[in-house]
Amino acid sequence: MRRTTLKHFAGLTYLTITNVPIKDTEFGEVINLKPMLLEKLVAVALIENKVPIRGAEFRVMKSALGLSNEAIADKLGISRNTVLKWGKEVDNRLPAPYEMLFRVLTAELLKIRLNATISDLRAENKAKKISLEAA
Amino acid sequence: MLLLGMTKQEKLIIKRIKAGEFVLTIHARERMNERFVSEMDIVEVAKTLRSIRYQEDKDTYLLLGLSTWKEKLTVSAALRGQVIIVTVFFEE
Repeated sequence: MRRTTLKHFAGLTYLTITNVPIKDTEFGEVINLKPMLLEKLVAVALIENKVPIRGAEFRVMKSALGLSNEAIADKLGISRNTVLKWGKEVDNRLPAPYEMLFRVLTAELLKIRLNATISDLRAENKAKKISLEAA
Repeated sequence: MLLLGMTKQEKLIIKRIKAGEFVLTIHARERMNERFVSEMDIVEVAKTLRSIRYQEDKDTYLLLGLSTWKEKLTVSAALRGQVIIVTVFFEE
């Protein structure tokens, strides 16, 4: 099976995914994976690498969780408009307490062990380069 | 209801996209990366569908709906055994 490398996945410039299976179609190369698999892989990596969560990360993580804006709002105890605002402001980081809460929620739903301190949950200010393997 | 005037193929494409049963071209993935569009946004377009148009020259369908962020988003999809998302773009 042929494979390729995807750069800037979900608009995250620091992220590269290698070994992504592809196949040829009349419309060009197609990613030969079930939807959401790569987004889940990315969401796990964002948690494990303690990446700051801006609107851009929030969008792909929310998609990986399969949660609607309403469901996120209910789980975090905020309004739907606040969720909408976070998603629209792709360069802005989530407010500290909600970033921590969302990190915990993501870890819980993706079944990642989150052995972290409060400062870990708030994470660093800048994302480092991440390279993932789809295989 | 929008569904009433639809062909079998159009209904099938919408059903599969809603169920998350589709694959993405590399081109579509790149357009999605540029505009922070997620796979859930594509599903949401099928759920909030405002129009669907068949493009006879390409044998593809243009689905117009809303992203999860309430933006007007168009998804170009083809039915070739499976549903292939050919590209996505925002309405200006």
